[in-house]
Amino acid sequence: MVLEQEREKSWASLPQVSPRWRRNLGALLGFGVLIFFLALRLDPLRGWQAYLINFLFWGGMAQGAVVFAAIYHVVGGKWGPSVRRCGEGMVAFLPVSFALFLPLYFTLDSFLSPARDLNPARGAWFDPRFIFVRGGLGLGLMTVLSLFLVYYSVRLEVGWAQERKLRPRRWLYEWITDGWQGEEVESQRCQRGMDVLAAGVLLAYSVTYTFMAFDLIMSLDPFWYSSLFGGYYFISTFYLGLAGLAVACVLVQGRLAPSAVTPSQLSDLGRLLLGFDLTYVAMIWSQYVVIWYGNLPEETQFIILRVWTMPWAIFSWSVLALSVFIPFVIFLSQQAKRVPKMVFAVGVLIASGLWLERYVLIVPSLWHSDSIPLGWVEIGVTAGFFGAFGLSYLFFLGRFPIVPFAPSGAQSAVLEIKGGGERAVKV
Amino acid sequence: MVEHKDVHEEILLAPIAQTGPGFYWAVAGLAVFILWGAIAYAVQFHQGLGVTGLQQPVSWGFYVTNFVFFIGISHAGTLISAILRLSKAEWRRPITRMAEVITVMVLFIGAGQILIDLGRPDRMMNVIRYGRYQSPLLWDATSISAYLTASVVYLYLPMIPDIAVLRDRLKKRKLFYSVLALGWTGTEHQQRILNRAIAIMAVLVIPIAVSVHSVVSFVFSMTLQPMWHSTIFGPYFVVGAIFSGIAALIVAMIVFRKAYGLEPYLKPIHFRYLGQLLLIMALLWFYFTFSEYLTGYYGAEPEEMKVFWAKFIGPFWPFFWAMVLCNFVIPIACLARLSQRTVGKVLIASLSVTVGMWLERFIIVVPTLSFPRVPFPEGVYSPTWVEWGLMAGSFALFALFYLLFTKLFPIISIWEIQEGRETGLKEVEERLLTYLPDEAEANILAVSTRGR
Repeated sequence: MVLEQEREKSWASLPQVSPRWRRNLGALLGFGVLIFFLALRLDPLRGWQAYLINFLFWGGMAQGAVVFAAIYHVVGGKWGPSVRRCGEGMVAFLPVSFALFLPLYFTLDSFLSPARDLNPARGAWFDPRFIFVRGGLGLGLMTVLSLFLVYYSVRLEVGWAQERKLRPRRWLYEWITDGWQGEEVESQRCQRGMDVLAAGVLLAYSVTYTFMAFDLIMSLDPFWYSSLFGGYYFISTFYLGLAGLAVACVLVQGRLAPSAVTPSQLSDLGRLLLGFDLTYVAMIWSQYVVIWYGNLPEETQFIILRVWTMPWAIFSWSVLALSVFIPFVIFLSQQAKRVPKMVFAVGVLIASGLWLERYVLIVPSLWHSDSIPLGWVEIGVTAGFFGAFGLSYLFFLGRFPIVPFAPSGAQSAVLEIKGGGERAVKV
Repeated sequence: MVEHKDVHEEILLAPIAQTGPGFYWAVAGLAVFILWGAIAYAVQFHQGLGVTGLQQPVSWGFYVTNFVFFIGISHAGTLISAILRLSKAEWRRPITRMAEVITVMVLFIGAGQILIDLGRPDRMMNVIRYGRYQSPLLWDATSISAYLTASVVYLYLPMIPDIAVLRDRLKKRKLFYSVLALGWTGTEHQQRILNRAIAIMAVLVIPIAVSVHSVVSFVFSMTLQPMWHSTIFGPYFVVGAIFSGIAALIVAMIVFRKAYGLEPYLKPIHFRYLGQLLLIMALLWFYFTFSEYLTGYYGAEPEEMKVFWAKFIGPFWPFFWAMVLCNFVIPIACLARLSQRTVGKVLIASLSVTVGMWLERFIIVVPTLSFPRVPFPEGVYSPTWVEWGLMAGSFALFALFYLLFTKLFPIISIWEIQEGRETGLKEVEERLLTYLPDEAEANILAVSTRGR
């Protein structure tokens, strides 16, 4: 009975998103689209550069957060069902991100042709059609797997609410609960589905993001290659997903669903961020030190340009400060990880650093003028992507409970320990 | 509660109190291989490295392969013990000691491989006398020494309460145990200090362990040799080390579970969890291998491609594909389905990974030297009986050390098992409650009160 009440409450307390938020995000999206088309007329390279950076950034953040949800499921996590749900919510942006990949077809040739001319030996790697097809297939697969993972995660809750007529009959809920066979059967079915799909998401993620790192970043430089770059990039993207998730959790807890995320959960998320802060910097160091020691011109030129040559050096060192050093110092404190404002600030810092990281990985390979391409175009396009991301996320938050009633949650675990779990579920 | 404690002590101290004929047979069997290794070393010491298959251009063979392999195995202690301790995973309790012992033993054996490889062991002093801080070899010596020191301390600290039990309950080796027990009486103050020291060491030992295998990889990747100069080598070696360490730990657990009747402590669920870890590491290992070869292919550098094809379809293809079979295909087949993850299948997967990871080290070390970048003649490597003997002797020595340890100290931590029984459940419950919103917590408390 208690759990029934909890479930009803979780549906009854769906966040009421203020229309003002939607309006503001919509305005940002419109502004971004306008700026992007203006840039295409005035300075196409700059427009497309900004587009690629933001495509990788916002799509990566959403995918990283969904990967977190998949890992949480695979390892049988019990500490943060609401954190997991906040991560799952970002799946709403993935179809949008996939759609935003398609226009890149029109610019891949111009991005890759200098590299193709300078290093014809790599042949097919620089073929824009090949890159577009494999990138599209990988991203498409990732999007489908991620959507179905979240589909099985929410199906039980939506079906339960539909049975009790707690929600209006919307096409989305109808689609999710199509073929509903009752809670007992569906519980096992959803569990099985999530088992398979979570593993699928993790496998597809590592391969897809390795190829994305090669195709959309490494290929922009005609000679440089690094065997760690694929692994480095998918760790960086996962770290970005965690940072986005930290920001989202604090916003959800503070503005939409108070007490959905407890200080202990924020603290554990902070520990994860601290762990991946160290993993991320280990990746940077492993890559850097081998190239530095080997001192081969085709490898060092990529690093020297970005780390020791102005103006790009400022960006690279800013990445380290924002994404590594400052978060590390702050999160050494146990207390800081429990304070929502602090977690929010660190999440924003890390994400900003990782936006700059994508910038400094991409732009120096394409931009060969003395000026720094960072101004109204980049701000506008970033605002547009942020608007699209925010609207997608709010779409999810307004439709599904933040605190899921998955059987593997902390609540059930405690009840099991206390010996009252089975009874409580059956009442 | 007192009864439980006595039963634990009786079961876990039994291998130390009584010694059956099986032990002597095992020692005799291992002694044969150790003797073979000793004779081989005597011959090599007397006649020089010319009695081995090591020559130009392949100057590193079995010894360096074994060095990397053994140092890799040492990561068992770090991962299982330190990480699981820090993450407060309750299922770690019967496992940690076994893992920590592996670390210390194999570090000795691994470091010994370098002495063997030098031919003249006195040359080891040159690292200290003429060491250059720019050299990864000096970094190696430094980090392995640090790791060995930290691992010995990290093994010893959690043993203190158990050594005190041995001191109080056994009639033999009284002085030995009394000295090692450091006057432990189990007061609250002592327990608090011990817990703190273990926690500090657990935090320290993780970065040291990660740095060790990164630095071992630098011995290869800092050179410009084809397929060695690769940025992925640091994390790739660390992943491989953890992978082989888990496999070795599982094998040791299953052997001693059977030999000492430890089934009540090492339950199928422990093997399911470790099997899951092994499965994850198999996937990670495959990813890194895939990434390494894919990037080599992408770079398409002629010297690199020569080694690349030598591994795929050239003289080294049996080793390369056997490595893929052992490290990926067999573990996935054995472990992918949770319902079929039995102790037997976990053992098969672990044995397969142990062999596969040795092959992986071999496939990294030898093919590159067979096709050097500088204009040496290309050459093949064929180990002689001396190298086979020293390899067999090294493995046997490791097994013997491990076996002797189990005759001196309990291989499962008695006090940690006891602590888990007394406080583990409560701690988990308290931790879980902190994840719940206050209202839900109140509801749960209400339910449990009504239930009583």
